[in-house]
Amino acid sequence: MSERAITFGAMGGLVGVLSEPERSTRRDVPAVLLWNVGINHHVGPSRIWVDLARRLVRAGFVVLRFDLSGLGDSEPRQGGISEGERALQDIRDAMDAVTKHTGVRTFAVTGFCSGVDSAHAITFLDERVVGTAFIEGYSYPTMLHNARRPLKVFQRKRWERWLTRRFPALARARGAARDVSAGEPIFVREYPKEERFKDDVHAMLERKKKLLFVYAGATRDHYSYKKQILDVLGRLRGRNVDVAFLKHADHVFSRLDERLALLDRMTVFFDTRFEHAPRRLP
Amino acid sequence: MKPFYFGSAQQPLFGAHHPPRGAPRDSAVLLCYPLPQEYGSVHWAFRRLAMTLALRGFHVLRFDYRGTGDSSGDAGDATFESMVESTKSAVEELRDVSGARRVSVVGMRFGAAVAARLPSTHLREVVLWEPILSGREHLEELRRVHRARELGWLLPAVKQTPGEPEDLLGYSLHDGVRRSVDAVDLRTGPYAACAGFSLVVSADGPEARALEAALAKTGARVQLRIVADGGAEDASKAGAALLSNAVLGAVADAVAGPSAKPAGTYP
Repeated sequence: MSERAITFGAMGGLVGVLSEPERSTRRDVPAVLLWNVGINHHVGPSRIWVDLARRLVRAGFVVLRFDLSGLGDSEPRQGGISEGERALQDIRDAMDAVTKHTGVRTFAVTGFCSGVDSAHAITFLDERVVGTAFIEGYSYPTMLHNARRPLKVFQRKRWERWLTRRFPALARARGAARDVSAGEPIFVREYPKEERFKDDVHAMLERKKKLLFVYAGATRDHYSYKKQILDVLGRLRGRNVDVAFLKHADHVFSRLDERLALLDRMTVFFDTRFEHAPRRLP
Repeated sequence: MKPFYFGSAQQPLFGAHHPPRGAPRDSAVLLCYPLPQEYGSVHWAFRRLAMTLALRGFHVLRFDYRGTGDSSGDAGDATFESMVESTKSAVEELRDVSGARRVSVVGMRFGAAVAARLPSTHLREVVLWEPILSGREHLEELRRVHRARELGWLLPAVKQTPGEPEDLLGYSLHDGVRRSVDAVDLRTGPYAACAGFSLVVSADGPEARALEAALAKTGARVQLRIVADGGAEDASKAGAALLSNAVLGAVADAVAGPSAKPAGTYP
């Protein structure tokens, strides 16, 4: 395996690490792109992108982990375009850079948390993207999900948050550090309308793109059972959708066993779903 | 900024070189990150500090220890001794890429312990930013934060399986790494050989004064800079340092040495 730092983009202001197999044993697979999770830089929370990149390289993939403009090690992009458009241009620049360095012309991308916005958009808009892993991405309530909502009263975290607010001295005496609010959502994400999301995903599947949806159970306010996303999507054309639900995981998969489970699931997705995908287009 | 890999081909280290943007000085600065558990939350602060120092004319190198960040290796490789070795390699690389004769080192939190123990000669300033004095106490502090954040305080602490790495704030703490960090006690030497030490802390207390006295015994100049809103004095607040211009200014002044703003209290 070789890893090299590259700069790319119009002004060379984008920064990433390109990982390649020493001898390419998989000449028929897309390159994998990984970018920021929230404001984490391209290493990812708990170094997860480094671990995933090295696993995928061992399986024969080329992988680029990089920072979107203005995040991590990358420079801000000049010009008056929106954040979403900026991210799309950054991803297109990343694809161009991988093609220039390796000759690979098709891509599988990964969006994690807020990164799902740009992963969804680029998968919908760019034909070079042949598949995508959405981690902790968009979700919508279903009848079954709503039926389970009263069960929230049994969630330990909810009781801890309430008790911590009401009895901070007790929380500290029990060993809680000062930052007891960590893990609570710090911003509210804006999801596309459900109908628009469904239309987009169905359009992706029409074009034979392969999709993986991964959800963590600790965000049970939004997602409460494995097949929830399939219930949202309704009848699907083909079998190009995989779903994983890690019900004990928190939003950033900070526990080691849950993170390993996520890495296993993603590795299996990339490894099996893109076995015969065209790596080099004519 | 130029990202690159350096060191041996088998165990390359990731670095980010910020060339000087102001009037260049014949001096360069190496930045040493804290333990991996605090690395993500201070990455942006380190980038800002590097840019601040580059604007003051310094060559600056940020780098990842072996087993951390973009560098080669796994979490089990990031022992204290390995971190010191990575830092020695980074000092030599910085001398090569910058051509500077004089190198200063800034270490934050546990990175300060690495900087203070650097067995390298010809260092100019060694800046210890909110230094961790006891590796054992530092791990206990991180465990408290871990328990509050991830496991919840209504449950008993999760018992570790013997032989398995400890799960600490999203990172595996392997036995060898834990033992090496536990053994670090900065209240006693040996210390790096340098022209001057600077302590940048958020509060003047007995620990800072004890370290100041211990460092003074080396014969090097020792300065104490107190930044009331430094924000990096404990694990749960380390990321807050990214918002403090005062502390970045204080660290930059400390790197500049006695010719810069005198030591003392920052507003």
